[in-house]
Amino acid sequence: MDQTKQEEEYGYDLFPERKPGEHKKTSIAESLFTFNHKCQVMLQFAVETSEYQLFSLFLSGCSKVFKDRHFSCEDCDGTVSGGFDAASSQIVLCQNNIHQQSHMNRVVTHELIHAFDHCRAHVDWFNNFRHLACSEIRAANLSGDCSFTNEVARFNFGFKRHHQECVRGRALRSILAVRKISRAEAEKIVDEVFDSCFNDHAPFGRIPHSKRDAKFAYRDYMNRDRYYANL
Amino acid sequence: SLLISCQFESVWLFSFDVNKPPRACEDYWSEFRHCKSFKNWFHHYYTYGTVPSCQQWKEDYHNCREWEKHRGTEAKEALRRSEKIRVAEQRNFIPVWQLRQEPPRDWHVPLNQEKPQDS
Repeated sequence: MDQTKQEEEYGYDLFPERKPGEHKKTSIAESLFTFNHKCQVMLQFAVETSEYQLFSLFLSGCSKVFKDRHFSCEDCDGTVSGGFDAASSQIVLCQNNIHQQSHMNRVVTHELIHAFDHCRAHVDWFNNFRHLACSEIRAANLSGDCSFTNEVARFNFGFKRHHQECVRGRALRSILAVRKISRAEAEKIVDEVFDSCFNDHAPFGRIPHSKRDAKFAYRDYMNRDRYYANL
Repeated sequence: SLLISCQFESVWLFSFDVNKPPRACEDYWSEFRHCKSFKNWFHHYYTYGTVPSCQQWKEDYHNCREWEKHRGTEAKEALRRSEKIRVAEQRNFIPVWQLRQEPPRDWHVPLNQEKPQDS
């Protein structure tokens, strides 16, 4: 397939530093004149301090996620914050669009859920829109993207059951950002898989809304041998 | 002898792990307290549009204590039933994709480095 066409079809045009199949190391100059260093620092902090991330890290079935191998800080187009590149098994963090630690934490969690899905299932990222939609629904649902406070910050003032509306909307946006399909088509696909994917809470066993949810989910994971042995 | 000690250890761990409640009894109580908290009520209503139901955690806690103290089969069975329902609830959907038997082969494959410039 023609490279430009492939880039556009799979959303690679949003990540101009990333050509499918190639890898480029960041030069010192780039490090100094871009947000690369800030991104690396925030990434380090996110990986070290948040329980969410630790959780996904060893549950992925890929057994280990290495910061230097599986994460990459890059400049991206537009307002996109990050992405998961299945071709290189990397999580892309948009250094020019992530400026706060809390945002970094959220993006890392979101992308780790994609990585988790990639590791535990045969996800056909490039050709199966239902798979893509499912992972986006799960990522929006479980990463904190749709928390009440984040929605209020976006001036979306909903309350009763609003979480689901947000998840639907953000999944839709994510799909439309990286694939060339019509909004109507994307909505139809999201509707088809929503019930299944919204209720898939792996690896947390619940929707983690707070630190305590995450702590309890972690506790359940550490206790799993005893749990299943005694059912 | 190393092999024997490993086997012994795994047998010991296994017997240490079974014939107990699925969770430590304090875990049931902390889940109950967490369920009843305002934060949880808020998040539950925000997510599902309904108020959370917490009674089951409390019952499970009492059954857990009962099992630990008196080893009663009724308490044990009640607790197991409750947990099995929880497991079933978490699996109550038809997966969109097929699960892997093994992780993707290229997960740890090193990225291609750019060839160094000729000086």
